[in-house]
Amino acid sequence: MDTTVTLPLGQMGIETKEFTDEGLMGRIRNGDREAFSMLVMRHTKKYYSLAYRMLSSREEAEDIVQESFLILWTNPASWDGGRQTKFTTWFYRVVWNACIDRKRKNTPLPMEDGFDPPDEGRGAEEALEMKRNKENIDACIGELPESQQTALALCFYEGVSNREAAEIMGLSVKALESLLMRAKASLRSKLGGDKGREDANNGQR
Amino acid sequence: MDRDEFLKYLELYGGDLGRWPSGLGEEARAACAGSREMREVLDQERRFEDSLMERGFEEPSPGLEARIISAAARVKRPEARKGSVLGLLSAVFTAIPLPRPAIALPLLLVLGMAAGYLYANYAEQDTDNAQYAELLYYGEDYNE
Repeated sequence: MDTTVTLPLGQMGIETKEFTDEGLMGRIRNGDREAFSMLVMRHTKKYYSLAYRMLSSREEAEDIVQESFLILWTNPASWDGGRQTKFTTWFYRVVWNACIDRKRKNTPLPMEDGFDPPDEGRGAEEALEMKRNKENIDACIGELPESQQTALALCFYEGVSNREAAEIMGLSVKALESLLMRAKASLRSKLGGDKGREDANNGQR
Repeated sequence: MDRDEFLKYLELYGGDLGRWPSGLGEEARAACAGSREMREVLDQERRFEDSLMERGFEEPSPGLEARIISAAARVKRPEARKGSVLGLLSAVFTAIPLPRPAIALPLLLVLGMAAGYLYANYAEQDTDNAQYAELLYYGEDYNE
């Protein structure tokens, strides 16, 4: 007797083997569109977030996520479940590689000309200050080497564990942690957030 | 946990002690409770991380998921494997939750035996053919 239950897309919190990412991938291999839709609904935001952190552009991040999911749909065998790699780890790697390719293809855009809007009081000044601050952080992160940017995006912004981030990037945990430490140290010195740390380190000596 | 360890872990795991590996977060909390200096460094780290969180982020378009699903519906998917021998093998491999080498070794053995059996039959047939040709040749000689 067939006991397979087909659920509408909205019901996704079900913890049966069939509805795990890995179970869905098995169904996608057999051309199950519903399983594909469930995977897309479940994970799009997470992978968009990584792509956005890597590319700083909504359009490009959306394109990358779409392309990556289409690769998954047309060639689901590229995920080798037998290797015991979690689907999410593997797909982070797919998206990350696509971002790296896109970054290398992109020619750098010319910097925007400085534009100071007319003074409209304190609110406008604060908004401008915030905008400049965001741009400054973006610029500082953009100046980091690619691998440090990725380590930061995965571990700090996406909350991926150091171990999983190392697996995604194909590194040892120590190498990943070294990237992370260098990224943070570099940002601290650029953004002026290292006073307390310097004091602590000086106290150590 | 001493100060050196605390600084190292702070750098590796960040200012949210709840995200530190199990056990370490508790130790760090205890260490901070007893050291004003560690508390200050922790606050400093949190302020730094807060400033990093101010980095710009745009939410994805509301219809992104639907766009991906409809794009996939338009893409032609290679379905040729369905119903074929390869498709069957693929389904078997997918269904058996064993690591690949554990399947590959016996499979290679079986394939090797099958190839050996086939080749042996073919070689035997070949020998028969050669003997027949020889017979014909000498037969012609005899006729002459």
